[in-house]
Amino acid sequence: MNLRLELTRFLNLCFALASAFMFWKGLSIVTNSHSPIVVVLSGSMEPAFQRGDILFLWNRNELNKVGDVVVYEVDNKEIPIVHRVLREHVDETSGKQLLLTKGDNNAGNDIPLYAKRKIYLHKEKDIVGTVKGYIPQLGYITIWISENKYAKMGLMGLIALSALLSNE
Amino acid sequence: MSKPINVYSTPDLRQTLDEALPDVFKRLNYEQSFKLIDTKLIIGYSIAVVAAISFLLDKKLKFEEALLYQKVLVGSYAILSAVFWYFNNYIEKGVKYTGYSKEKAIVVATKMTKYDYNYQVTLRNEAGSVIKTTLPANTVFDEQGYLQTDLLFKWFEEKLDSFYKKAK
Repeated sequence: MNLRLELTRFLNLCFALASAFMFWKGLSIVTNSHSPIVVVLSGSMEPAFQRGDILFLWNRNELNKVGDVVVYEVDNKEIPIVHRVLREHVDETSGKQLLLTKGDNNAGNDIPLYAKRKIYLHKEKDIVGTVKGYIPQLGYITIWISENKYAKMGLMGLIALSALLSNE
Repeated sequence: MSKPINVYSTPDLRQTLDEALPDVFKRLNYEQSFKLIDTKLIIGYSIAVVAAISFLLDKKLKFEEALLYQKVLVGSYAILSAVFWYFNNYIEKGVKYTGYSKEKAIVVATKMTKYDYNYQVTLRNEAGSVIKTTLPANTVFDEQGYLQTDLLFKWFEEKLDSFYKKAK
C-alpha cells in the first residue's frame, strides 16, 4: 500500500519546517530572549546600526551597563526598538534595575516612546536582549519578506517545494 | 504503469527501484512486514507533533508563560531527533524491504552512491546468511526511463534462487 510512502514523503516536509522552528525556539531558550535575532528597522541608531542590520541578542546578563545597546518592547506595541542605555540605576529595595535609553541618532531620550507615564524601562520585564553581535545589511531580505506578503508566501512555497523534490 | 524517470539522476533511480521492491517480492510470494517502516513513521510523526505543539503554544501564550513547556518540548524534540537518527543509521541501515513467506524470511537493504548507476543490494535470510550483489541500473531501465519490472523481477528471482542454493 502506498499510504506509507505518502506519509514518508509528507514527513520530510514536516521535518523541514519543524527543524527551522525548533532551532529558533532552542536559540530563544538558550539566550532567554523571545526573539534572539532581530533586524534593525529604523535609522535611529545610525551610524552604529543601519536599517537592515541583523542583531544577535543575549538576555542572561543580570544588569546592563551604560553604553550597552539593548532591544526593548513597549507594552502593547509589538515592534522591538534598538537603542542605547543612557542611564541606569538599581532600586535598593527590590534590587531591580531601571534603564533610560536613547537612540544615537535621536535628539532626545526615549521617555516619549515608553508606555504611558513611564519614565524608565525595567531591565527584567521590558528588555528583549542586549546586542552582542551583528551582520550588516543582510536583514534587508527579511524586511522585504515581512513587508511583502507575496515574498513571504513565495519563500514558504520554496521551502516546501525543496523538501518535496529533494530525495537525496 | 510507472512514470518515466530521469535515468541520469542517481536518487531517482534508487527511489524508483526501492519503491518497486514490494511488488517484486509480492510476485515471489513474500508478504511484506511493515515493522521498520511503521516504527520510523511513529518516531518521525512524534517529532512533528512536538514541533506543532511548540508552534501552537508560541502563538497562544506569551514567551514567559510558555517557557517551561517550551523547554520540555525542545528537550523532547532533541531526544526524539537523536533516536530517529540512531534508528536510521544503526537499526534500519538502509533496509528497504522486509518480507516473509511460509518458512522463509528476507531482508533487503539497498544503497547507491552518487554518480554510480550500480544498485547495491544486500539480501539476508532468516538463517542470517548474507549475500551482497550489484544490479547495474541500465539493465532494468529502458532509454525512455521506464522501469522494466519484468526484468527486475527476473533478476531478483535468479539472485534469490542462487542465494538459497548457496545457503543450503
